[in-house]
Amino acid sequence: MTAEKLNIRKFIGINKNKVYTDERLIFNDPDSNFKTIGKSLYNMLKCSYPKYYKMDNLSKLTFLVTEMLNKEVNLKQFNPDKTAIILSNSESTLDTDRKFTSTIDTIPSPAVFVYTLPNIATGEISIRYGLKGENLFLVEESFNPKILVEQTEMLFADSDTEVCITGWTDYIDQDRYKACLWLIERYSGSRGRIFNAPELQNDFNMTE
Amino acid sequence: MAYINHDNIIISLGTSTDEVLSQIHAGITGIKHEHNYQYLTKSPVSVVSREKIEKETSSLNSNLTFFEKITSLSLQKVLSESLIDVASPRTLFILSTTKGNVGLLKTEQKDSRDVFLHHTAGKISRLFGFKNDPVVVCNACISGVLAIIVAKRYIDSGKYDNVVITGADVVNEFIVAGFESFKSMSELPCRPFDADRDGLSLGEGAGTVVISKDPSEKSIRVVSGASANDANHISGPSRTGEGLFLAIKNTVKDDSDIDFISAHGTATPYNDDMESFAIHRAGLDYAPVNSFKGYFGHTLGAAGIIETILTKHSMLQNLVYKSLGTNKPGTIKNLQIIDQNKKIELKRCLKLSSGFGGCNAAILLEK
Repeated sequence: MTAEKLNIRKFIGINKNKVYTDERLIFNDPDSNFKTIGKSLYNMLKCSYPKYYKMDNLSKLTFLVTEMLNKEVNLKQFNPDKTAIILSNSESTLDTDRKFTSTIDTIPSPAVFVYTLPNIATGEISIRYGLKGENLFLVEESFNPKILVEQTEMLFADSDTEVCITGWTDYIDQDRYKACLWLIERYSGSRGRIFNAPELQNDFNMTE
Repeated sequence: MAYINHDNIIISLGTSTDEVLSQIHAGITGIKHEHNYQYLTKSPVSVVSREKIEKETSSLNSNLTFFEKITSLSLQKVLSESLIDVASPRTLFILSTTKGNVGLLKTEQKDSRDVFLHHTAGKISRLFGFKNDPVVVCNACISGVLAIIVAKRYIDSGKYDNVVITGADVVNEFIVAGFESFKSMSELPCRPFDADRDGLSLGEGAGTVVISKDPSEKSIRVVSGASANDANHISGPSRTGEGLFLAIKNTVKDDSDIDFISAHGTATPYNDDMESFAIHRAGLDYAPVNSFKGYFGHTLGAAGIIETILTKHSMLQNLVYKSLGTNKPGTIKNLQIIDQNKKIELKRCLKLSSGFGGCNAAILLEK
């Protein structure tokens, strides 16, 4: 199994009130509360997706960053069976775990419980775009571009994956949240940047 | 090539693979009504004896949670048998879990670092002297099978010589309240693939495997593996088994026979129908099938590891175990459910798993 040469087709990052795509700042709001930002982005993107309102914060964040990725690169152009999703974060779903814990002694809600798995966010974007490719969710102490690159390269080498949405999507609380997604495809000449850990780290740092 | 070498299982039925196998061979279930337990539920569960674990972990660091104790004990048992060098840069530790220490959130330790899965993994990794940072796979109920796929890819890519995976989850108030809110727990020990099945039984436990580039005397090869999403619903499987079908199709790439399928078989009405559909679509409805969940329930992030270990030992012994709890098979598509322990030649076997978020995964094992 030899590592495939891969390209970054697109990068999108949300860090609180700022949104970046590749090297441009495309959104900046004076307020950084997720409730406000979520609403502004949802409206700006002209989403009409009632399921959004049922999602927990991690899924909402992942959904919004994917909507922006889709705006830049139409995700429907790819083979849905061969579009994979590799995500990672540090919190897993602690925000929702705490919410669910507070209801255990009263009326635990299945609508909250289902969001206590981080890959529900993967499921939400899979449903939105009909993506049926491979999935992997990893929990890391902090953003770890090395492992994201490793996992993505090994996936391309060991499957018929054509594109992969690789990234970090972490929700701590309404003032601290960050999501960075890279759309990765097989090397196809000069289009896009080379996919490697320093590139991912640069993009990640740019949103700081 | 990636081989599954040493292994250990800790569940209600025992704290070693041999102990567990002898109970399964005798048709014993560990799913019971637990009256003196920390939560109230009408449903029976499969839990590990706290006393037994306390005794067996007395030599370990006492500042470990119960989750960390079963994880460490399982790991300790495997590492004492296997000769791998944990401190080598060519060795990796993977923790597969859905919820880790989530139970702490309802205690005074709710602000402890132990609620972070990566923190727990780091703590256990350091306890045993692994030098590489651990990897945590947290992908609902397919975590275990997915961790094996990740390990196989690491071995095949030449990055590591040995990958040690421990899959673990515990039954606590959080998990029970969640599954009860979904009304997905049966008031009887679960009956996978049965016509009258009415829900799952929760189980807890830990399972550890060493996946290596070199085979040992008793090893099974991980030939291939794949995951796929249903893209249908976050808490219910696709009725047509879309994702699982794709995962099987991408795992089994030739026409050679499959001798046995260790299904996910949770005993919820939807899951088992979905699996029967996917197995049919893949043209594998001739293969003998069981679910191990009738013996020790659904062990969540540990399930894929524990059930793969049992499949491995089935293969080594050329023995398939009966699908405990399936009294009257009844799924939307007929399956060849194994109704008694049987000696059959096992060369190529399939392990399946599915979970919330529409995720599915399969691995092909070969002897």
